[in-house]
Amino acid sequence: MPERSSRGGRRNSLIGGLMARKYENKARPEVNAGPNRFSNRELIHGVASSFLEAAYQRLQSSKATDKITIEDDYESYAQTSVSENSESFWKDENFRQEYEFPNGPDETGNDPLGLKVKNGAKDEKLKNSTQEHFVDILLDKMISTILPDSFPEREQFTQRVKDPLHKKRQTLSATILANNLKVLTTKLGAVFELQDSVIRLITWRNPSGTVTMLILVSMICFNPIFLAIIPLLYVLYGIMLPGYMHRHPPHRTAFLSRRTYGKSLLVSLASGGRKVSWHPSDDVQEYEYNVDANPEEYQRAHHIKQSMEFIVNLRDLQNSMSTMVALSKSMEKFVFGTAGFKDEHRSTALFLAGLGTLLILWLISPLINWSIASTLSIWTLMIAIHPKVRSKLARIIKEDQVNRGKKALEKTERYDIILDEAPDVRFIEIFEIHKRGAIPEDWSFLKFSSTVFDAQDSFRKAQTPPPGVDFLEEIKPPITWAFDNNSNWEIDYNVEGWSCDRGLALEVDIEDEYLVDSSFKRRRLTRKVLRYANPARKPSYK
Amino acid sequence: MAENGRVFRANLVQKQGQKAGLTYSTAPQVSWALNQLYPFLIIFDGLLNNLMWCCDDIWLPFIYLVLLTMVVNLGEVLDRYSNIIKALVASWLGLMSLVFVVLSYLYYISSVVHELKQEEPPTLDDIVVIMENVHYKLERMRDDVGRISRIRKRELASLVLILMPLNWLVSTYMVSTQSYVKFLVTAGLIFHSSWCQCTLRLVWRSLFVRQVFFALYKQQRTTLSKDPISDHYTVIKDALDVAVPRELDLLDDLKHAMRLKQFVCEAISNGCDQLKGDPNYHWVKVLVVEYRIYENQRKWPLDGWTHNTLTYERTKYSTGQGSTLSRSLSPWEFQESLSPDWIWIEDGWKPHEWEYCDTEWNIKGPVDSLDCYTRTRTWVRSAFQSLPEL
Repeated sequence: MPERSSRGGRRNSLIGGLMARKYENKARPEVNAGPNRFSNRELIHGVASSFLEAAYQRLQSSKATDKITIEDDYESYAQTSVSENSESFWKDENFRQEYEFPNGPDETGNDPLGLKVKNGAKDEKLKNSTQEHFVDILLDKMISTILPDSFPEREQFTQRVKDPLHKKRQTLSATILANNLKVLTTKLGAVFELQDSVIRLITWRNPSGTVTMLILVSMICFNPIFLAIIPLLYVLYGIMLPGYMHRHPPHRTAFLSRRTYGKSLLVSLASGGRKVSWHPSDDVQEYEYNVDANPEEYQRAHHIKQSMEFIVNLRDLQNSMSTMVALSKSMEKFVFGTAGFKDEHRSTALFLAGLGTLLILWLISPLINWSIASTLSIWTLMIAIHPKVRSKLARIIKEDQVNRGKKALEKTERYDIILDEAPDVRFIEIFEIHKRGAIPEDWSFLKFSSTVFDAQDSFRKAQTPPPGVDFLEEIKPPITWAFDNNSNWEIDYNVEGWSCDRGLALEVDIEDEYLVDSSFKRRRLTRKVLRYANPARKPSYK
Repeated sequence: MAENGRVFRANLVQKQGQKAGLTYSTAPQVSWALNQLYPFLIIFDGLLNNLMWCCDDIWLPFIYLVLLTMVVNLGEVLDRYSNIIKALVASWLGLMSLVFVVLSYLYYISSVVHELKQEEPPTLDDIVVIMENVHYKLERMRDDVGRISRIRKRELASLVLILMPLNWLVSTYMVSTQSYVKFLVTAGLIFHSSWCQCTLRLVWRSLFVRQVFFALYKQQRTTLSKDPISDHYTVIKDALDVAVPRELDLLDDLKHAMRLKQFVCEAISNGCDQLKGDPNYHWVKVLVVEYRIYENQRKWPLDGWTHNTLTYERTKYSTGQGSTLSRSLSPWEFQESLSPDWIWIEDGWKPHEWEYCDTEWNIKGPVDSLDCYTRTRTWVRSAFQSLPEL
């Protein structure tokens, strides 16, 4: 309990300090860099992870009382056991003799070696820590350049950084990031392989696979429970059974002959190109001569293969990240452009087309056998994008036909969509300020300004003219607004009204359209401005 | 470990794969015949590949399977679909599938023949390799079937008897003939795939499955265990003549038995022919037998050796030989249950050494090893019984 209260107290004092610093003095920024001050880096840690985990945090705090203990337990367990677990996981219960050497020789003979290993580990650790330190300093510098010292939500984030629940999450660190990247790169091979095989399926490079996929999709269309069955089938027969077959091979060695004769009708009919990769199935092993005749050679070859794989994976990862960037850009273009009514003609046309489709689908959906419809459409689509069929289709559908269609579509967009909504109407105001001369009735024009320039005005106190212009033509409408060309500047004769609104009527006199005080008089000019639409939405970082 | 601290490991035996050339050692007529056979071998090999799902293109067998099941649809289309359009579509699909299957089979054959003509003629070794391939695959398929039929061979008649009405019931009342044929086609086509075989092996790991299996096909196990236990002995001497002093008859039962035992032991080891004609002795005939009770244990991965055997196999103690094993009491319970006219020769039961067996109780050797899952040992004690004088 005392610990907790002290922590709370520290937090309070910290927030207090920050508040004080923010509101008290701008000219003395770096004074209270005491122990309670957070570095930019710590703050950014908090910010980064709190964006990601805000929802999770909220859930956590609502369950905080009963969840903390379990989570603490788990955390401590995970911290202590992660290092051993990940190593011991790969040991095989059936091959204890391979890694459990008898104690005797190990303890006596290999002791120096063990020491060496320990020292090595120590060195490694030291190196790691210094490396991390260096990288983190770099990161800190980088963050401090991108992060202003007084951003408004700072207190909020400081609080989040201090949150005890939050401390368990990993903080932002370049080393962790790099490490994760390294680990991911080695393990993502399967994902890229999947990506490649999907591409192969779609481009008909593996026609029998494509047909199988189509058959499976048709089965799903006719009986949606296959949507659950097929993944289960994959887990059982695509993942688990190969694992079993690897451990207990069914001994179906194929004696590969010099070449295979004969072609499948399906393959030669529907092949869309050479099949690039051949998948050796685990149950048929190629006849290998003397695999373990020279284990070192084998090991070396394995190592080379692994590092090649790493580089290829890294390249694939980079490419897929580029794809993701491109994808997110086009998503952004859609969300903020087409869907954001940036081009109002096109967006309106799109919306109307979507609405029409929606209504039609809604109305005719009970009348259609969707199983047959979707199956047929998928088969048609896949056959249509077959490389051979596609070129033939392209010959049938001539280029100029497509162009004509495009033009018609554009024409529809241009003339069948009518953008004639009444624009927003607002009024802008300006004050024409005159200065009293030597004689009481001698007024000289001072400025057109947007301030009233009354006695309380700070510019007037400073004895400087207010910000403004000398000619009416120089006044521009506010951003995104335009003057109504049919309107002119109009003098506001209801002086009492506008001065009352500003709480000035009691102190000053009214002469005609002017409001007069001791040394200045001003009149209010208004003009109509129009705006057709708000500017389109923009992402927060633009 | 070798002297430099590195582990020294032996190599596995490898097949060298080198064979002497066959060209000169084969008669021209044989070579010619083999050459004629070559296309058929290749086509047959392709068929076997499809049956075992081990072609280069693993999806093709699946597509053929789907096509064949659709061909089965062709049979009774009109019964199943009341809608005439649906029936037409289904039969059209079936017909198309049939056409496609036949066409692709013909195409395969013609492409094989065509390619063989284009290539240079095969060497004798090529032909032999294909023959070995075909032979190997046929062997595998026989093994696949054999793994099931070996167990059944003895009960084949009863199996047929059980299955025939079941078959009839299923095909008549539960599913249509068409679905039944479809099931048979599917099962036949996927049975030899390594997936199906591995699935069967994995399923066989389940105790429940084994229990069901043995409940269906091994009924005699349960009937045998009700047998009278006392019959399970091995006769050592069916009528041993023992000379017994006459004064023994005066003793009460217990002491009589004690003394009698001594003389029986004497008679077994040395015989008592030298006492023939001695008036102090009279002769009795004795049946000497040896009781054998087998103690059975099974190895469990976590608990080690326990008496916890599977429900359909030998129990903790058993008697009998070979396939006529039956449940038994423990030796000590057994000796209590034995009728009083039997007299034990030894003072207690003597165990033999453990014999380690594989999972089907075939003896492997006296030491536990990786392939040993069960073990058994024999408790032996011999006894005798005075035969009534004729």
